[in-house]
Amino acid sequence: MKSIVNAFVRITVASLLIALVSIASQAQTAAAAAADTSGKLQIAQLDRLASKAAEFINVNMDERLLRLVPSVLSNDPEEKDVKEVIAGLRGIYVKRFEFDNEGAYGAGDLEAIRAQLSPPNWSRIVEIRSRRDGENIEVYLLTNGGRVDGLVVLSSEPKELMVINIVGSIDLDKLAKLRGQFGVPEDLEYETKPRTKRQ
Amino acid sequence: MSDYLWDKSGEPDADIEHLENLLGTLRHQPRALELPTEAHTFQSRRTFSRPALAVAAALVVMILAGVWFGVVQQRDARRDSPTIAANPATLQTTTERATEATREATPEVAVQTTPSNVGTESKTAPGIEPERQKQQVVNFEPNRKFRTRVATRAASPKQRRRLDADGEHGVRSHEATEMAAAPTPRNTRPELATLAAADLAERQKAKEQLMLALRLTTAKLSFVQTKTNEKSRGTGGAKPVYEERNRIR
Repeated sequence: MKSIVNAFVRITVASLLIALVSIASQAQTAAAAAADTSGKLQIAQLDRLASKAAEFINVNMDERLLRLVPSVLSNDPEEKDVKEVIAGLRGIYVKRFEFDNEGAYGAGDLEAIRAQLSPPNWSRIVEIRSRRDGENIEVYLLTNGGRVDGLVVLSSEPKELMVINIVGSIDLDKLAKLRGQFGVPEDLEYETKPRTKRQ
Repeated sequence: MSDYLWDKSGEPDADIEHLENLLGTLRHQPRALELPTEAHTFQSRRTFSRPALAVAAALVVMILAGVWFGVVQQRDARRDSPTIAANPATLQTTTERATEATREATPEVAVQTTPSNVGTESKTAPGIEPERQKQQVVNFEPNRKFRTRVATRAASPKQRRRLDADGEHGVRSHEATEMAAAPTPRNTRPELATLAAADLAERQKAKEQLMLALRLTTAKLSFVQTKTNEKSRGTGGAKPVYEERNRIR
């Protein structure tokens, strides 16, 4: 009887260990896969900079909040465009910090974000570095089979840091149609297609 | 004295020899143990062997672990999907900025909640002709929590009695709920207006946040576009965002 109990205990402990290892590896794989393909970045760690910032803008719109918006948008052409733009989106996350002094954030803050934007899922399509102004802008796209599923704009200046993360199916043409609205200057060259006059 | 009793040396004693002969029949005989028949039958009656039991126990433990993992994942998924991420302080900042930013682009919105139009909130912009006002009626769809509260609180006693009576005559429960939620002057109470206003306020805040995010995004992308166009004209630098997107397609 004693030997049966011993065998039972040994096998149970071994099974538990195997199950735990399996669960841990599964969870890790799932988390990594989710981070890679969902397009949502982990940018919450930047919130600690808010205490140093003179101005902090934080927009956290998950899918639930995005689905609330169309009901309060009118049929005006401008707001109709907004409806079309957000139709395929699953989230919009923006963090913008404006500091009084330089050096309020470090290179490590940017590296933590760049580390999540690794190929092959993410590709950096634009990088602008200005030594004169100290302004750096990087634009990343998450593409799945030719479809844009995520957009990240990483903008850093000596006294400003901004991260824009748009999650979901993005039609950049529709996004471009928003030029001239919400305070965006219309005279910037922004579109590849000729602009049609709205009715 | 003879040492026979001690080590069998010397003269044997007759009495001792006699005793030896008597007890010698009981001495150890080297042969296999013969178990009684009952013992064999007892062993053969065991239903499960030890390894089978151990394997079964291990399987049970693994299945339980799998079920637990599944439950935890489901709970996490449920918790992740319907959360509101905005904190009040941030929302306030965002709201103020977004309001300033979108004030020119969108007309001021006033919520008019009267007993006759609680179910369909009308959003009326001052200075807009009536035809256009009609277009701006928002199809307000109350969520489940809202409907439940309406059904349990807003219906008048008379209406509840009528609902109960209808229920006895075959009206389904969800139909009764919809009837209770129907906007009639009788079930219009201040709490209904508060609920509707809170829901609308949440939607307006979401809209303001969205407008702010889009404004920042389009402004930054416009800047990128300008810079890349300048570079591509001058030195053949990076391609514009939209051209690059078209290439990927």
